[in-house]
Amino acid sequence: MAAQTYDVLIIGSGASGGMTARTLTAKGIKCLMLDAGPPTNYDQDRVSRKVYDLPYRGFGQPGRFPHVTQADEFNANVWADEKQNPYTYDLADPYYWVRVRRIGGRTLVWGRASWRLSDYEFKAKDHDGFGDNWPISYSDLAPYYDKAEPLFHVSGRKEGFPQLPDGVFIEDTSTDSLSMQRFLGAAKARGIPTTKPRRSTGALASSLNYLLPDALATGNLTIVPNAVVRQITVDKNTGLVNGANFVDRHSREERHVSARVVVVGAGCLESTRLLLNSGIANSSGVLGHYLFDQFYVKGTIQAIVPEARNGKGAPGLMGGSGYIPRFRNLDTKAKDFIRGYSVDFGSGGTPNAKYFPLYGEALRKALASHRGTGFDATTMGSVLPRFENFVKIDPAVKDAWNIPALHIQARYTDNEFNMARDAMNTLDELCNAAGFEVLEKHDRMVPPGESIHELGTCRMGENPKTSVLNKWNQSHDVKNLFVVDGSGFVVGGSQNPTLTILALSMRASEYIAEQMRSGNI
Amino acid sequence: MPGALDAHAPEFLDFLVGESPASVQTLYRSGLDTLNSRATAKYRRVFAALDAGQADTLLEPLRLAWTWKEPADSFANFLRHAKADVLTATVNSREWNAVGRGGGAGTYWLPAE
Repeated sequence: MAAQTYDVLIIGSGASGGMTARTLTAKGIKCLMLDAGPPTNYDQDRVSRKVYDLPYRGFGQPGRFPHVTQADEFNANVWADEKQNPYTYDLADPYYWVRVRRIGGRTLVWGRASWRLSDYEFKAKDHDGFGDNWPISYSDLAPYYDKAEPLFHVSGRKEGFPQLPDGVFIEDTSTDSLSMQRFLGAAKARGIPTTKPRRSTGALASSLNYLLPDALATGNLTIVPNAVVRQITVDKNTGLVNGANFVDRHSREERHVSARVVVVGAGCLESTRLLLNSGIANSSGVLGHYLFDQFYVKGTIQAIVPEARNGKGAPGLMGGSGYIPRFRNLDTKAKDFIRGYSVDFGSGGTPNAKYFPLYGEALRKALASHRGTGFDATTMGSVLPRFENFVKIDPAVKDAWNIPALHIQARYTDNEFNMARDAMNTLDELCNAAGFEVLEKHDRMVPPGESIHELGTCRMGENPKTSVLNKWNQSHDVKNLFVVDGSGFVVGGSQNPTLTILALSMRASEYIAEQMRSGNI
Repeated sequence: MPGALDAHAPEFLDFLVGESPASVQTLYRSGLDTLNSRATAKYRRVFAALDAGQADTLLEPLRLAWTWKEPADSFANFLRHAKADVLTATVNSREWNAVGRGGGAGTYWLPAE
């Protein structure tokens, strides 16, 4: 392996790395993929266990994942070890960096929500004057969304919303329960749009199952697991990148691989950390800056459908889920924030015991009478990309392989806080109008990062002085270096980003193939 | 349905809290101390020896509406956490599974190495 020069070195095996490998290998390009984690085999790596047989009865080992609220005792071994992979933040501004180090990356555990961005995001500055536009328009990316959705078997319902473009869906023909109809009716009466969830379907939908098998089948992909990349290397004569140094996670042997082109898809902040540690692609000085994500207000509202108490609901009263796409600041203007938020909602759950101010037998009876009566909603809001939210190398802290760690600085502002409050009040109004009883509402966001939708820090742009990548995810400084994950985002909107990452990395890969064919890189 | 004692929740939580970070241990230790000191002051018995009616008078914070903001009072905060922990330890027990409730199966990821 080490003696061979590959056409393309791909760092990372998740959504962007997997899509890059699939696209390039299909065109006959020889690719080497490095990933910091072990191989993943769904059949061999997972077993069925009773929760009472787990050492901690499902609580999980205390203190093992202080920043991964998604970790439970069943999936604990998926997440990256926080002691081996440290990072720092100011205590006043906690950041929850959630990582997976396995072949397949975070697509092994993603929520599968698959939404397109629109020109309300790509041309956000044109709409409200804040920040910057992407260097591309929706029309540039639409053909790639068209190809990515079938690969991930995305189901959904076409609606014609300009802020949430339709796609190539497996048509969702499910009907709405009576409680959902009441909520949808309350929303419609107030001009608030709703639709069915759009999500990737199929067992184990991931890069591991939907992208890498096709790439491997070409014979053009070599995957090296347990390869922790230390540094991308540069040819001093040309200034071009020529490969990478990595350390074997187990043997700690230091190795080098050579390639004509390097594509980084290590997962937003890991990609930026690698570039910073390599000392490349930062003539603009903005590498690491403009960190953002989507803020989440989990369980913004918990309500119950009163008629469903004690199992007395009419057939078809409960069940189902839906989505409110962004509706603020499209044709009208909210008074104290720009951009907007989306909402996931569902009917038919059982409210958590915490919502009942009871204990003992009284609590048991309350939970029994409210089984399946719940209606709940979670808000996902657009976060403004700001220069002052950033990552940098913390030279005082190194990971288990002696690679300098990141320091992360991120803080939400009044725009996000005001948006969250608007979401809470709107959902309260909708639930009351639907005849639900609201048990609790709130607008408390989870810490930045916890949504696992971190974006930016290696952003695209037309101007090399204010951006790191051009419109092809190509470094302005180093023409044979590409970064294809969420770090290239300029604006994120309130939509989950994975589908856009898939489309962007496919688009960038087709460009790479063409540039290699024509001898430009 | 098996209760928390049937599910051996106290023994399990003693183990879990013993493995937990210092902040959790302090929350439990000070909370239990407060519970017993209040029981002793009011009824001259430790909390575990009280009858249900007497215990209710000391658990008043659990009858307040739950909000996302954690209680400023550390005793109320302890009771909130203890309620959730006792419930989870009970529902996820072998005893609950034996009567066809809770304690279900899930897909467990084996250690990578």
